[in-house]
Amino acid sequence: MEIKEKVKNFIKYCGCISEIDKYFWLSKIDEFSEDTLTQIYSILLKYERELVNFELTSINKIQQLILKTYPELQDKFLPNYKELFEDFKTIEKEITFEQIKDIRNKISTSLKNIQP
Amino acid sequence: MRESQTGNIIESAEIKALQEIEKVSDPGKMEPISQIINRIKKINKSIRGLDLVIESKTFQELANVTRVKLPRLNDRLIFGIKILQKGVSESREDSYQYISKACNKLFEWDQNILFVVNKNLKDLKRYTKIKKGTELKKYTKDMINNYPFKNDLYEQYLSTQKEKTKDLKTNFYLTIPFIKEIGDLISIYDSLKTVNKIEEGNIDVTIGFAKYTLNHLNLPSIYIVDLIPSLIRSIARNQGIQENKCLRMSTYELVQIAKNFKVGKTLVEISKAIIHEDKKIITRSRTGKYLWSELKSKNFWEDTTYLPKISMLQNIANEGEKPAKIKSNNQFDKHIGKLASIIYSN
Repeated sequence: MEIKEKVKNFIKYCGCISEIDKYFWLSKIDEFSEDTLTQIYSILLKYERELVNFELTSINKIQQLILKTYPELQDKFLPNYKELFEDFKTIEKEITFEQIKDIRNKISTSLKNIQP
Repeated sequence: MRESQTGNIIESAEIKALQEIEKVSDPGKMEPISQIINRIKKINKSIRGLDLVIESKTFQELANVTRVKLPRLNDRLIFGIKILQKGVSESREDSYQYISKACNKLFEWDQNILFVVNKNLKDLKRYTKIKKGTELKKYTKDMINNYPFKNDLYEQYLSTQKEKTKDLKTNFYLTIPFIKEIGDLISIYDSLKTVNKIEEGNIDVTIGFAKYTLNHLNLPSIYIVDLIPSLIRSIARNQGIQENKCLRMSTYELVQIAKNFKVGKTLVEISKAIIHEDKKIITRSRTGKYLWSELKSKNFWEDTTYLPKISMLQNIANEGEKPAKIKSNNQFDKHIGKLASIIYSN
């Protein structure tokens, strides 16, 4: 896939650009050179990684808290964020767009699977 | 991201978690597991909505690399307000010049929009000259009927208003952006006229521009959801609150600010109506009708990609969530201690 398409897809998907500003950046893509687009891609990756790190860290901590507060809660009733968090930490430095998408999908799937 | 910013976001997450857990502080009255799981979901949604600082940093870095000198949309709106603040005048001609200047600054990133805005301003100017000395609002209908993009659907609606058939009603939604465009320009003009109410007027201008942008870009509902907290933040900025503080504000603080202004109260009301799918309230205005059709067409309430943003809106709809109160001599204290140690241990 050419870099322009990759950046477009990333912008549409990512959480590190405000939804309002996504329109703006998408409308500008055609004006940028390949070098600039590569730089944009790495910036998006950097901040998306920060975001995923923050989401997983916070969710993981709060999950621990809830388990301590309500110890009778079984692990099976809670999404397995700990595993996701550990997986993320092992690939964090070289994480790709696809891997970020995969983690987010797993979070969504975990939530869907714990319907009481 | 700076340590302090991360700390503030974690702190917000902590407050939200406490609010959730505080709901059952008596260990003797444990709630069902299903309810706890629902609350875990809520915590998840709240955390994923807390991405403002990262959004701000990303935009800044992208702007540096691409040499784009424009600030974010919200900041452009504020910039427009500042120009208007300088230019508020009783002279109609001056007012138009300032509106035009502000629009140029706000929409310079999109030449198409700029063209339409300026064209509309010319039309508005022409009509106010013709209808000299009369309240502009009375002539909305005249302007629509004589407008270059004369809209048959609207005329059809006017002529058969009493019948209000279903099909016609659906078609009418399509004309709303067009009608609102003129309405918003009128409200911009009106707010400029209200020299004695500059502050309130400029907030109206912000809303007017925002609505205009929404309608013209045909932005989907997620943008509307994103815009409501942003607009309350711009009210906060107008109050002299610093940017960093604005970005870090909890929904409770946002709602406290919004409540002091008529327009802010409306934003909270709209949030409530969206969250509770209250068609009656949403469709009370023309903009609301458009908003309702947008929300329905985008499958808003079912689409999980909207969850983080809905969460922010939900908090605003609940009129902000009060920071958790720490109760002494209670089992709950232990939980707070545990939470603090978990949050800050890594």
